[in-house]
Amino acid sequence: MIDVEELFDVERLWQVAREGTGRGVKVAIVDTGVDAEHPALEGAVKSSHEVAFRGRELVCQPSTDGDPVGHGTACAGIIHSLAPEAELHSLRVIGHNAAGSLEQLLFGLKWAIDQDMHVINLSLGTVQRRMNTALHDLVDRAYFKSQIVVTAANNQQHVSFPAHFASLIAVDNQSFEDPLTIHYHLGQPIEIAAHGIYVKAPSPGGKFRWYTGTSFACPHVTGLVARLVSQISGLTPFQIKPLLWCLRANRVSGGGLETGAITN
Amino acid sequence: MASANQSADWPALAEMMSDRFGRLIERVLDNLRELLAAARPLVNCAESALLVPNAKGTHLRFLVSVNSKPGVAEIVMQMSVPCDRSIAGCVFSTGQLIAMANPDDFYQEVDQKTGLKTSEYLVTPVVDGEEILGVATFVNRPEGQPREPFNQREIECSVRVADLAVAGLRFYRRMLLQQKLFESDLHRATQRFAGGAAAANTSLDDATQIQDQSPLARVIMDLEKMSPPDQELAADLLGVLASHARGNAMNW
Repeated sequence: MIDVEELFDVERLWQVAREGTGRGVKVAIVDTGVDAEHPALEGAVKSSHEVAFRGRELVCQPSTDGDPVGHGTACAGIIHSLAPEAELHSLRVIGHNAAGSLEQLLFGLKWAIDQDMHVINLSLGTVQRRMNTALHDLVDRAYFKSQIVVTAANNQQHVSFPAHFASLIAVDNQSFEDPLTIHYHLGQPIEIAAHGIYVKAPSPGGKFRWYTGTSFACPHVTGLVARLVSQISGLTPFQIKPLLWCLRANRVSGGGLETGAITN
Repeated sequence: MASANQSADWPALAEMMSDRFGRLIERVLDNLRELLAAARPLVNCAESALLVPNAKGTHLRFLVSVNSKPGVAEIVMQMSVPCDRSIAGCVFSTGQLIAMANPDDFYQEVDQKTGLKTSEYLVTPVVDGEEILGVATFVNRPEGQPREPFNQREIECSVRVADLAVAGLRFYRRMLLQQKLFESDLHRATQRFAGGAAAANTSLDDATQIQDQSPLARVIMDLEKMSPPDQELAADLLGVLASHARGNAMNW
């Protein structure tokens, strides 16, 4: 029998990943907004919108409010540090006259898909199942449009969504020296782990903070994906998973199966 | 013959009942406070607190707070933090735990009012099935200990504490609702006594009927106007009310 890994040129793939800059790749950050003026982001944020209730209706409107929480700015900073030439597009779905409803998340995700974003970073999720069908349909819609959705797993191992859907990349957090290091978890709904423990990332107002959480592991994978998308033409969600599998650091010698447990 | 109203101080009895019920709720809060106090050495933090959302879900208020310095708890218990402008609110909205070091702009009003300087900050959601009941916060290292971020073991401890807080918070919410119903029942009873014979002879006049009906009508109208998160909360509360009503029907 042939080990499937023999069919891939892993060294070549690493070279491609290391050389990628994210050029030409549009990345949506669906989060708390982004402080686009932060020096660390170097003007990479090309648009800022927010999903808000106007009466009973949800609308997506240009946002000038930046990021009053800091979560989205940290994610943007991590993505930019890994894919400095990627275009970042901020979409605020948490805050602004509602504390972050499922409806806002769905509306925001739909907006990002309609805007033809190549990669969508969702460092958030929900433990509620009441809108799972709609959320699942949207994530599938992105999949069929060849848009890659990267999302954070729940830190406490609660079943959360969309992280438990198979058509996207769900990310757990671990501590790694190299921000491009990832682990693969065979047979787990959360397939990938990336660096997400005390990550130095920008914070609104030109500051920096140290963050821990799956929210900050997720943009590491988004950055890595943006690098690959900028180097490999027409890369689809179907193709990206085997590439990430090849790039995993928890490779078992002799072609064995990785059983890495979810750590957080 | 002496009337019932002359033989006892009915309002005082009602007040005593209300006071006893209030003390039951205090005991639930004491229980949560003890949990947070016990959590401090486990998470190795100086301050710990539980925050719960207001009715509209726009702010988180401090429900219990355990602090290393006297007077701080009294200050924070008067405060609330906006969900859309704070890390605690972000954790409440997303259900995603966040630990931070040097969170100098996490939501400065708390530090400004307490005089504390937050340097290590861990916010853990209190998740009950599909619902986030609130957040637990763990702040700073105990005095004299090196300022270092919360490690993985401590973060895991915070998750266990949040899991234990679920039962207490659920109980607290139900007790709060029961208290409102109880006080409403008491209020109605004392009003009947105060009304005397005239009121007793009039079972339900038109005005009372309107009063009884209008809150329900108002709830239905208000429900329509509510944002989806508020509707969810209302649905939850109505569910509890419905079980209460069913319970009453069986008891009667």
